[in-house]
Amino acid sequence: MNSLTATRRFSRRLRLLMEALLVLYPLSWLGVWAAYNHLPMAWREAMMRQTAWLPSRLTWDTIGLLYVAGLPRFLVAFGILFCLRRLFRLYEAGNFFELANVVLYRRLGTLFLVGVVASVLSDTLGSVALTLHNPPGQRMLTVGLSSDHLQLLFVGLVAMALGRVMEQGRLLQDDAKLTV
Amino acid sequence: MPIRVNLDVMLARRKRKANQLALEIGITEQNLSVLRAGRARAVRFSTLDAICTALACQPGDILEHVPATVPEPDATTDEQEHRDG
Repeated sequence: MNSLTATRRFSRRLRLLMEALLVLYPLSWLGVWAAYNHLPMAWREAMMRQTAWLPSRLTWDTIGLLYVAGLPRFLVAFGILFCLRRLFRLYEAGNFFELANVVLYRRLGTLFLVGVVASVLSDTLGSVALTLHNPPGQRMLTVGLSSDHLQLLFVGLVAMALGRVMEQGRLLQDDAKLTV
Repeated sequence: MPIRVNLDVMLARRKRKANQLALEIGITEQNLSVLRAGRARAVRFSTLDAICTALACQPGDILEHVPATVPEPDATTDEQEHRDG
């Protein structure tokens, strides 16, 4: 098996993985909050340790607000998965340095950078959603940056740099195609 | 493009068809078409050698340098400058 075939096969597996995640991610996002009150206590405690102000039981109002709060982050993540699926589909077809690849890398970079803002926004809205029904004086609105956000920013910048490299690759491929 | 490809001329002189030439020199008809149409960005020496061998010609018979033309000065503007002194 030559390296091109191996790369295309690997890309096919990744494309299938992205397609599976495109289905599983929304289902898990919708399901985890809807089923929160029925999850084993140990799972809820683990989630409570990760998310400030998360109580052991949620009302449906709060669950609805959490869905709205998580929407920015969810939409960006879904967009990233969608782009990755298209990218691996191109690789699977043997298209490595086409304009479509360049566009997808740039789009991924942009999505990761937007994801930083979306993540901060979702966390902020989440803090509001979780404390909105608290008595006055105990409601919170937090804005914070964590290492997760910095990682997203770093990945976004790397993706944009890769987009520029892919553009150079595309130009080289064009030259090669028109070399007789 | 300052380099003109006169492959069609040589093919006509040698009474050869493009698809036959492509097969003989080992390149695809599509690539040969790119060369004939002047869209090629580069030609390998090996390809040039194969073409010259097949058509019994020199590279200069196939490739011609056409310098970029310099636009001539506008005649009306010249007359006006002469009148104004």
